[in-house]
Amino acid sequence: MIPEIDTQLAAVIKSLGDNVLPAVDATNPMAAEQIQLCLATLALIKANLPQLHRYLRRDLETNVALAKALKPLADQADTTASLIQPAIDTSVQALADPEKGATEIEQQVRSLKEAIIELIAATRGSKVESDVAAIIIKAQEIVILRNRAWTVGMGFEPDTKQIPPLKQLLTRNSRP
Amino acid sequence: MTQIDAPLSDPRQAPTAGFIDDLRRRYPTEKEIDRVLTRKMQARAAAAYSPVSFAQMVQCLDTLLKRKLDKPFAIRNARWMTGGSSKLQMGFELEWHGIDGNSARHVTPMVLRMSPAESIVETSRRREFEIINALSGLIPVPVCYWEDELMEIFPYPVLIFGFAEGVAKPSSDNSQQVTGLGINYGAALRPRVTDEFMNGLAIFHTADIRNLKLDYFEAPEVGCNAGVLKQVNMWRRIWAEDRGEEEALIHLAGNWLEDNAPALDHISIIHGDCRSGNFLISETDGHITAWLDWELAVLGDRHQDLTWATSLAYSHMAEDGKTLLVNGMLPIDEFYAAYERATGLSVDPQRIKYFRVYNAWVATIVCMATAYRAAKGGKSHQDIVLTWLNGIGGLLMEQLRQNLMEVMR
Repeated sequence: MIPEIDTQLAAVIKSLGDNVLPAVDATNPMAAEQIQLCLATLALIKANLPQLHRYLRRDLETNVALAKALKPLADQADTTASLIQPAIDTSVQALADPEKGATEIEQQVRSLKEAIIELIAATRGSKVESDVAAIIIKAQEIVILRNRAWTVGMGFEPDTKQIPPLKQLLTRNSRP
Repeated sequence: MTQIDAPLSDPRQAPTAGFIDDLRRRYPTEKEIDRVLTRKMQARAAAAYSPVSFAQMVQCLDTLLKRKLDKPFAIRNARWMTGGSSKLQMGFELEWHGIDGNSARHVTPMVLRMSPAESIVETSRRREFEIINALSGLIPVPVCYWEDELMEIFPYPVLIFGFAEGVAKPSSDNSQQVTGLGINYGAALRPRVTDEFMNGLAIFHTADIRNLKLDYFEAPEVGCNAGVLKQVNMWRRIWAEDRGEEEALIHLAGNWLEDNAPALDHISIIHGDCRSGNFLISETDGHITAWLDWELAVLGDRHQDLTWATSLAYSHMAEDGKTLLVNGMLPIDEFYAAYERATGLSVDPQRIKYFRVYNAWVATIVCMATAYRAAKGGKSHQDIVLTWLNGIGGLLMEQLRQNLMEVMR
């Protein structure tokens, strides 16, 4: 048995809000601003933490699909992009492995993204450059939308109605 | 044995000399900017920022003043100030005989601005000091007294300038965002603020830089795009220094910006963060009392400031609920027309398009790379603010994606 993280976070938020916040020196504007941001950050973490693993898996899946779409273009342009196929292979293995934890999936996403960057560099100036760009720009739509759904509670979105709920975006094969 | 779910490996958190040299070689930029970025990287593996005590700040200030002033002085009413998401600020009053020691003893309110170990933008206090002094007498700017960019006295780089009266946003604007985005000046003050903003832009965008002392700036050449490319290099380098994970859109945008950099048609002093919130106004009549935050200033293309000021992030709806006012001032077409009238310089739609991509790219790099990296290292006095600003990254990235779709169609 481990302590329930959700309850621990709720207790921290309550403690800070009920007891610490009223004791913060109102004449210290930096302290006043930062305690509010701490509370808001903790609330965001509490709301999103249960979705973290699924979020990272979807991120990896989307990037695998992107890499697979880009690979034939790199082949067609006869480039020297050598990282992409191994990165696709290890990413597919990672997705198939239920033992992979959040940080390992995140590391895999990073490796795959670095391979995609190598491919962008390798195809720059080639006949497929604009096709590579078009595929990437399209593929980023859902990635960015998920990120915005994750952060929507931070108050930066001009129109929150445009952002679907995070849970909806994390369902398999979700498309904007 | 491999640790399960070990922390992510991250060469940028403790960069080697080879890593730093490679980025310097790949992305050549202005000499003073190179120096500042290199210093940042060399210090990255060192300790996190630890709070500088009030007593230490006052002690350092006293040491600096003893070196700079011949006549007796006294520091009064020193206190912390807030503002911005970047630097520490301490207000104080200096009882002194003036900078040359020839005045009767009097009191001058001042502000000391100190960088933390790393901040959301890494910039030179020497450049800031120089550009503000160069503009003094042309537009309202704070009087700049001293800088300690090389940390001879203070633990981090410092600029000391005169306190400027005024407010960044009127008290009638009750928006709560952390950085003062999208300020609403209200119908009564808006016309005067707009006029003064345009007049100020006209002065520094058309200033003859040959008459100004700007030793730490490199003037780009008119008729070619080398200056713009140097700026693109700087931000590519910052991305490479600060990012967590890679982002394909950042590279696509960087490539496009390199391939499409326009030749400069006129050298302007570019504020670099030219928008509502970065100048102070008198609440009684909307008069601009001081233009602030010059740390990102460069010599370059006026369209950079124009597109920054007209970003959606600094816009809001007018009282009619349907007219979008850019920079809290005018509908966008009227804004450009007012600018052309004030400056006598043209607004080129192609350059606007270019710098819209450029600015969206820069804003994304600042929030997704530098804000992240400074907070990751615990390098500032307000890491929590930086992680919060990191959260705007998705919105900025979508703006960049839309801009790229438009120009790559």
